[in-house]
Amino acid sequence: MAKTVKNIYRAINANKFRLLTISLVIAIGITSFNGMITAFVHMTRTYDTAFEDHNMASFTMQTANLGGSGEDAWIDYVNLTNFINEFQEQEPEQESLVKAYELRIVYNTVFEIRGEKQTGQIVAMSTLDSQGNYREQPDVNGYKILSGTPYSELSRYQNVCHIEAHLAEYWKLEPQEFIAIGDSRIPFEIVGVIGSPEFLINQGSYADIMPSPRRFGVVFLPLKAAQGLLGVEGKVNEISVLLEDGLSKNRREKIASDLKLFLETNYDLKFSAPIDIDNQPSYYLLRLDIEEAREFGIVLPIIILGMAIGGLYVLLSRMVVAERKDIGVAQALGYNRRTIILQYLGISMVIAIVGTLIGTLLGLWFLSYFSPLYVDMLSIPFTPEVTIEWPIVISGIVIGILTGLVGGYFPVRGSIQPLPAESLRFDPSLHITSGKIPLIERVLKLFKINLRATGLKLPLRNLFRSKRRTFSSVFAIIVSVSLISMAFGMIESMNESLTFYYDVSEDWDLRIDFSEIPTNTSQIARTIKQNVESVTDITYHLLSGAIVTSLESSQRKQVTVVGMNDSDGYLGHTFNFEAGDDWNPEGLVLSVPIAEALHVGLHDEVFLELPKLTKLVSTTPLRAHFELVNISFQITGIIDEFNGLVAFVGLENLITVSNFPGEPANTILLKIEDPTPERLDMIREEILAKYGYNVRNIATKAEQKGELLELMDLLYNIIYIVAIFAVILSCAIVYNTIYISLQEQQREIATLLTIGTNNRKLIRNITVENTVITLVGTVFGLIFGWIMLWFFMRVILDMEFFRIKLFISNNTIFISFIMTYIGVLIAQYFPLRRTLNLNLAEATKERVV
Amino acid sequence: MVFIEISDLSKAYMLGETKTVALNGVDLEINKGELVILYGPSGAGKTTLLNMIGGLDIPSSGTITVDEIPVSTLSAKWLTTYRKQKIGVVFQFFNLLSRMNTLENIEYAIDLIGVKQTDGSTSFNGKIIREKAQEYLEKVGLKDRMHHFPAQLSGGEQQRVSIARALAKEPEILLADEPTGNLDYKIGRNVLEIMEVMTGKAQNRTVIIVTHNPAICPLGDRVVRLSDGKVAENYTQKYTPAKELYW
Ligand SMILES: Nc1ncnc2c1ncn2[C@@H]1O[C@H](COP(=O)(O)OP(=O)(O)OP(=O)(O)O)[C@@H](O)[C@H]1O
Ligand SMILES: [Mg+2]
Repeated sequence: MAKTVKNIYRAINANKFRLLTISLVIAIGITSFNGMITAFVHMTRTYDTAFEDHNMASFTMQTANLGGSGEDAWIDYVNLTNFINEFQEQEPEQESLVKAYELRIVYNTVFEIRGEKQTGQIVAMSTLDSQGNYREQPDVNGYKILSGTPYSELSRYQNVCHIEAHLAEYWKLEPQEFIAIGDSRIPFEIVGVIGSPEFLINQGSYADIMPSPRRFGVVFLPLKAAQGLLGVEGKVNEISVLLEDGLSKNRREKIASDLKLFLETNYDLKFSAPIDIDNQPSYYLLRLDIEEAREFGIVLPIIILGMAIGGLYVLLSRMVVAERKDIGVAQALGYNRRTIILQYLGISMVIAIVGTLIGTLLGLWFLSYFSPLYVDMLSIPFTPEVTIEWPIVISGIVIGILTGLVGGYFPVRGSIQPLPAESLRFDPSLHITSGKIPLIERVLKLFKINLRATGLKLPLRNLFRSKRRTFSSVFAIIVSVSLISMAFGMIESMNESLTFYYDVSEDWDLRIDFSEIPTNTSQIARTIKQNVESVTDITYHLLSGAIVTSLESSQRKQVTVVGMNDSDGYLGHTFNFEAGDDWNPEGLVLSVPIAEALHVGLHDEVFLELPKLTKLVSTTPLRAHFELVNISFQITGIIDEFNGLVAFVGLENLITVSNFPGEPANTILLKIEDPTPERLDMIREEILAKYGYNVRNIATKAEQKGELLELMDLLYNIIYIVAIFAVILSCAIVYNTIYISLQEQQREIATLLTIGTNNRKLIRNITVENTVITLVGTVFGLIFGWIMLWFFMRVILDMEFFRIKLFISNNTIFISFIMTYIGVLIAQYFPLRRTLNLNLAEATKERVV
Repeated sequence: MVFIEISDLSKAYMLGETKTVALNGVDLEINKGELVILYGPSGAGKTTLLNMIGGLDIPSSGTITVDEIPVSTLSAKWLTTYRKQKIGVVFQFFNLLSRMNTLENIEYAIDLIGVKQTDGSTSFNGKIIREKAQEYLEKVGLKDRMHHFPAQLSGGEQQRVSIARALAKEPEILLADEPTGNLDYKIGRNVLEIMEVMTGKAQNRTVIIVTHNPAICPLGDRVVRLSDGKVAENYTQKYTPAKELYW
């Protein structure tokens, strides 16, 4: 046993640098495993505690006409409390399941912050408990005070508010500042900035594909202040219910619908469908996000460790081949296969253990900032508690060691001949697989190409007659090229999709979003075009969220429906049709991911669930009662573009089916002649001065793109991490393989030199050999790179709302080739230099190990 | 008593389409304790035959029986045991393990079977194995080189280490493939003397020495001349001590 250990040590010592590179690959794999999986666990725990500690509602239920006025919009607080108590008394078994409930106001309105107007939501809860005593936190949907103070006992008589963290961060708001709320711009003093589990991700609805605190900010008010502000004394419009822990979704939904039914039948109230915690946007999106992080945390290490196994396999099988004679001697002496396998396995185990140790330590070190980094990237106002997750650490160690076992056992077992006579005769540098003239040489001869003249003859012979060596070198090149091309392909595809989207698809320079839907949009548009200089084109759209369904699939997809006004021929959008060829205002244009999810194609029929006006309250601003109806549309185009969850219909069509009055629209798009930033700013000011009262946002295309890029930060970061790993891995693997291959040939090279071959010719031959290998490997590497790119972007990072067109550009091809080729040249330099400087007598005498 | 019995032994190698016949119907009987010189020109099949006897290779047809063990039909696993228990090999090209020093090369062989103690038990104690290895290194006159690596030794020295390694196992059968082939006369004879001393008639060890050098033939009790894969000549003689050999 001690001898085996000693032998292992000697073998490792003789190959330490190359073995270390494999250890490094394993280390990276284990680091990413530890870092990412632990980050996933930390995040899950952070969210869970955020949800639990702050009593996130199990379900919420809003009045049917939220935001409107009248019976079905507002309910008396005291009455509703009595009704719910009654419900609890009548249904004693449900009662025990309701832990607490909270009656709130949730209302979409406008804020004025630093003189600028923006939309958002106010959320208001009572500062008193059911006994009428002051309390710091509500019973349901609590929050965490990040700065400032909680409400005081007097707060309910004051115009004070808490600002949700994303909004505070965007405007850099601090306690003691003021913001104005509502159309009448009542000033409220900020007493604190809070993080709320309801708004961990600052998104008003799923349909908002680009959530930004600039368009959706949340402000918390004391209930009384909100009632005063909105002129609805004593009223609320939402019930949030906290149920006992551990109830199934079905159970929760049953209780919610029972409560709804009870209130609607007994007290003639009207509520919209209850929203279960699982469908709450922030909760749902975070789960999705975590899920993605987890998949990534599993797939990335698998790929890296797979490569480590490949690298170990190549290295050990080459080592076993090089030492075949020693193995033969050991066998001749009477050593059995098991002992010999054990010895080589020991080598791969040491590599794996060293890699695992480094990886585990790095992983632990990374932890202290990996999870916080992730949370920070999502700007989540709850910092995770960083702890070492021993089960993950131990799994990492087990996985690392398994890598060594798998990568070591098979090549060694496969390479040991049953009979030592063969092995004893073997000399790696004299090793021939077949005596035939290589096929390529014969083919080239057919074309009357004189190989000797091209200087390709010797290198080609060498390559084809030591197939195993060639194969493993090509393998290394494939790994390298595929990794690099995948990584750069990811970055390029993302960039290109964005560039295409903003340069081609989005055909406008300035975009105005209204807070309230005006019903005389064509008139507004005409006025702007006439009065504002250098506006060459103008159009307006009506955007709304809708659910698409089809008969072919049971899936329901949430999309943004764009009602496009095409009366002036200017659409503000250039379609990149994948199917169909022209805009048809009678039909529906659908994005690829939706068409795929619904299993529909051109000319198929789909249904849009759209609001249909049932009772008009006022036209300016548009206030009305709606019901949801399913309208059938025929697909006249399928578009492949960045925005993955979108459907376009003709505005006329949309207005007709929705029964809207006048010419409603919520977005105006302008095309500007010579759109310099200065000019855009000027136009913006001009429009704000005229229509500022109702403008929610005016953005240039560059601004919108910037916002989006910020949002995609996380994705970019993930991709950069992959790219860095890819390059390191490639270098390690290429270096390793080329180095070992040349070392194997050391004696042969020395012999050639002794015979009188000059250095330059030798170097040229080897360079030609390696160039051929790199070229061949690059071709296959690009194919694999493409497959991996597809796999990563479509399967792993599959995000429907961003549709990224995948491609590998010539630049990427060039970069992957050049980087790999440089790696090859560096790798061949060291062993060559050593051999060329070597005492030839030594080199020819001693077999390479 | 016949110790090694070889009958109708053949070995052919296929390389692509071409077939090379290395041994073509060899019949041979060797008694226990005999020193056999296997003589023949290059390519006659000497190494091949030796490999078969040593269980390093298996014949295409024919049988080999050694001490009533049907070597030619043993499975790979039992062949390993056979080599371990019975055989010591001195290779044509030394074949020392380059990563191990002289002493370790020998210890590596002894590790396998341990050291027989006077009380009949076998010891695998590292210190005892080391002493044994040193003893054999001393016998081949290389005790002062025990920490040298093979690359630091001359051809003759390497061959002496190789002999020490084969003999340290104290095998019943010693197979030596051209032990002097790569050496000059003086060193070659020195190597043979060492082998002669160490195998010694008293030890009742069966020794087969392969050579293409006719001058070595008188060393053997028996000379077997191979030619074209067949036994061309097979005779016993009175052996001549190594120091009286000249070539
Ligand atoms: N693995 C092999 N494949 C093909 N032919 C082989 C192989 N091994 C040996 N031979 C052939 O078998 C014949 C006998 O070889 P062997 O090594 O036994 O000869 P030898 O008598 O030991 O010669 P030398 O004195 O040169 O060592 C030779 O012609 C050789 O070319
Ligand atoms: Mg031979």
